Amino acid sequence: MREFIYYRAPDAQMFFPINFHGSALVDAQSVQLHRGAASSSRMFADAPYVLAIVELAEGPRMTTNVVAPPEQVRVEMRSRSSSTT
Amino acid sequence: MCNAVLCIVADLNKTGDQRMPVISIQREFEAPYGNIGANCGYAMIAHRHMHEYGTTPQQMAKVAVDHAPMHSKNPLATSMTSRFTIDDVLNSKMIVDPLHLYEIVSPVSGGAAIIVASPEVARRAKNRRSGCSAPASMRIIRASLCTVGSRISIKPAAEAAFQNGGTAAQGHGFRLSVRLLHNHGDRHARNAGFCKKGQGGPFVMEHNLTYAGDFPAIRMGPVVIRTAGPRRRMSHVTEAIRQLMAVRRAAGEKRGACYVNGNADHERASEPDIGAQA
Repeated sequence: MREFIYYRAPDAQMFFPINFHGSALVDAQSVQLHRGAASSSRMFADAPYVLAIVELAEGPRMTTNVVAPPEQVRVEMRSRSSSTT
Repeated sequence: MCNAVLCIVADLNKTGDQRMPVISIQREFEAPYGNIGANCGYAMIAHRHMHEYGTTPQQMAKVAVDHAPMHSKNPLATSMTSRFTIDDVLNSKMIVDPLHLYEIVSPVSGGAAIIVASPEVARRAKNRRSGCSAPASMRIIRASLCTVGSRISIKPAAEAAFQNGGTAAQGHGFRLSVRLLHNHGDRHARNAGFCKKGQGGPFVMEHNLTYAGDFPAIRMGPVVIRTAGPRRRMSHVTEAIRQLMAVRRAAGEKRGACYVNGNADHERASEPDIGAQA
């Protein structure tokens, strides 16, 4: 089981009113290998990183990152959540 | 309400500019995870498709290979190279796994305009006109959030369009002269009903997708066609009309299909549309 991340934004509850705590299934994934110099993201200046859609145990699917070596990430791999603020 | 509407789209896509809309679902739920690079959404869909149906990198590369000859035939194309092979595609730089450089949309900018008019106004027009007989759309929030692999929303839009048009995708006498597919034609071919579900990979390997082939299709990327007005995919409409007006007279064909599937990179929403007849 790998870890995926949820960055909880202050107003995220407006659109995604769910508190989840369990596991999720990797629905689709890709490995972003190259990063543009003008990337607007503070966290992804360094590639590669794993971009994924996971299906939460509660039902919804969401975009996230899977924290794992890219070569180990597979579709339908089970992962566990790790929320941040 | 009105008889004629001028529709204009233009944008300036500066190199390296990846600004997000101020308020959007994408900014809230996708950008924080790095879903802002080239074709990230399509890459995830491709992986899911490979997982579900066993689609191979070679099959996906075939789409780019078949579309390569279009570059050299279109003076408006921002062509990287005139022709390449499956091996060339697979040996090109990996951009976002599993998509390589030759499978990636390069950024362009431009503008386009069309006039949508009532039949009465169109009949009085001096210029040649084209008609849209079977429009349909299926609005989705985000391709990567809502439509992965087999769940892409093109299918209901395609079914609605073909139903409106009184024909079927694979029916007799409905040989499309022009098909505009926004990248990864295997997925679109399957979802639009041109082949059985899950058979998109074999389908593209069995057919010649070039303009001279048995299933001519155009991958709507700026590499093939200079994508004027990429936002909202106006270029699909202008290119479909341009192609149909030229091709139909030569081939004796009267119908074409135009699929508009918003890109996953900079769009605030993905909005597949289908249906164009000239």
